Amino acid sequence: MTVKEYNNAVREFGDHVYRFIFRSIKDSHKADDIVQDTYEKLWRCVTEIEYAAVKSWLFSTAYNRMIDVIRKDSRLVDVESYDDSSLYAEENSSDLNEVLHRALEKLPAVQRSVILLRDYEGYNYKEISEIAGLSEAQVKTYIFRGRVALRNYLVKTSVWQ
Amino acid sequence: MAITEDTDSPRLTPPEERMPSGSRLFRRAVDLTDEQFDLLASAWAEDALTGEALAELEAVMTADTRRGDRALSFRKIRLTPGKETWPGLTSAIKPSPVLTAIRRTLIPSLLAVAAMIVIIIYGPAGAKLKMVNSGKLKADSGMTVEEIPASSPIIAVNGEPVTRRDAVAGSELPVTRTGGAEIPQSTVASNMANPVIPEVSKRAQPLAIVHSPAAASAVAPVLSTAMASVSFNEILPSPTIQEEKSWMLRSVSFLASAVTGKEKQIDGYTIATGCITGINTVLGWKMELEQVSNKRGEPVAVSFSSSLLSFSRPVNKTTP
Repeated sequence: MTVKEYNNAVREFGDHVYRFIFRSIKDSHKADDIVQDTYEKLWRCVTEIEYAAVKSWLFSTAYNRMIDVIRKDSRLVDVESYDDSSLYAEENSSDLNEVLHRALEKLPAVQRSVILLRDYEGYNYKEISEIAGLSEAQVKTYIFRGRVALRNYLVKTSVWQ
Repeated sequence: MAITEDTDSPRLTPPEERMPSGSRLFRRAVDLTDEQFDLLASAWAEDALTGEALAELEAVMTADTRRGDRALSFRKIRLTPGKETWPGLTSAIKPSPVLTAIRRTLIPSLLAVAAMIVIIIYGPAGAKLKMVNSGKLKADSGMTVEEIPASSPIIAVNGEPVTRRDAVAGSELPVTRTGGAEIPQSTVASNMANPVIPEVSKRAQPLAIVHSPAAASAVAPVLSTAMASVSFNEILPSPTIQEEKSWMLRSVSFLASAVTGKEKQIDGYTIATGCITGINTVLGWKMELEQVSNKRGEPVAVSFSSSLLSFSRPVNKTTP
């Protein structure tokens, strides 16, 4: 990959990767750091990566970095008191997309990520499985279960009757 | 169970018994629970069902409208990306090697030029420039009465000696031009071979006598004793003032006088600000030159700042 192609990758995919990570962990500073790290890593091995594969590489690297951060954070936080009652608090917003994003935050990190890759980037199951390091069957299961959970959230918060 | 007749390798033959309630285990598509149906509907909404699985689910959806609606609702569960942008995008873009090389040479060079402009204008040459460019010598500059050395000469006007205080109190002395240098109309007595005219603006007005041989000879004895203690080395003007004027300021001064027809006082701050603004406009940089004023509005310092270099310099009171 040339420097020009690297810069194209920054312009073309930078916002996409950031959006994916930010929506997965809901922390703009951490998302920024993760994407910065990802591009730093890309720059270090810029000559070894083909431009055609760079998008998947970026998402895959950012995803793995994010999982590391999540694991590290969960170790630091230890057992956080989880308020189950707030899980299905009644939604006042009428914007379905907004409510869905709030519902997405309730999902486990892996489910959240695969759904984001599917909906935001339109990746197929095989591509998602390569990015997330899962089998295709696992990806499908996570996505289907994630959608059911999102629907249940909408029903239980009275957004859908 | 029977044993085959082959005694070398005897094998078991399965009997004919059948499970009595086996038929009750069969299920139809409509028997799927809601949870199971939801998972299938979710897969259907993703277009992940094919063949028999798809046919079975569609059969259920057709048979049960409630479940049909339930399955359709999964199609609506799609996330749309927001408008978040990566804040570090521009910083991640790498400049090309050529651009990097240009930047590495051009930026320090232009910064140095900008800094030099400020230093030249607010440095010693700039400070002296005002004297040269001003049309008249100003009485408010220079020493106070108390600062006049005891050895200062007595001043005489029109042939009559005057007190030291009278001489200092005189506001402005008219000047004439001789070969480009400014000289008071009243000249020093002819026996003072080396006049100290340019330094007059910095000191109390020195000896000033009407240019008249008769008057000069009349006061000559007084002058000769009064001037005896004067150290000429101390009050000699710098012969290189004109040389110290920078080429740039000389050019600006020349242009200003050519346009207006009269010699103009140069505003160094305006020139420096103009240069820096020009560089900023052309190259998109953010260099700044600020003038710091005191409560009376008089400039006391200038500060230059850029991403690589910043300094502050006090303004000489005689700086233009």
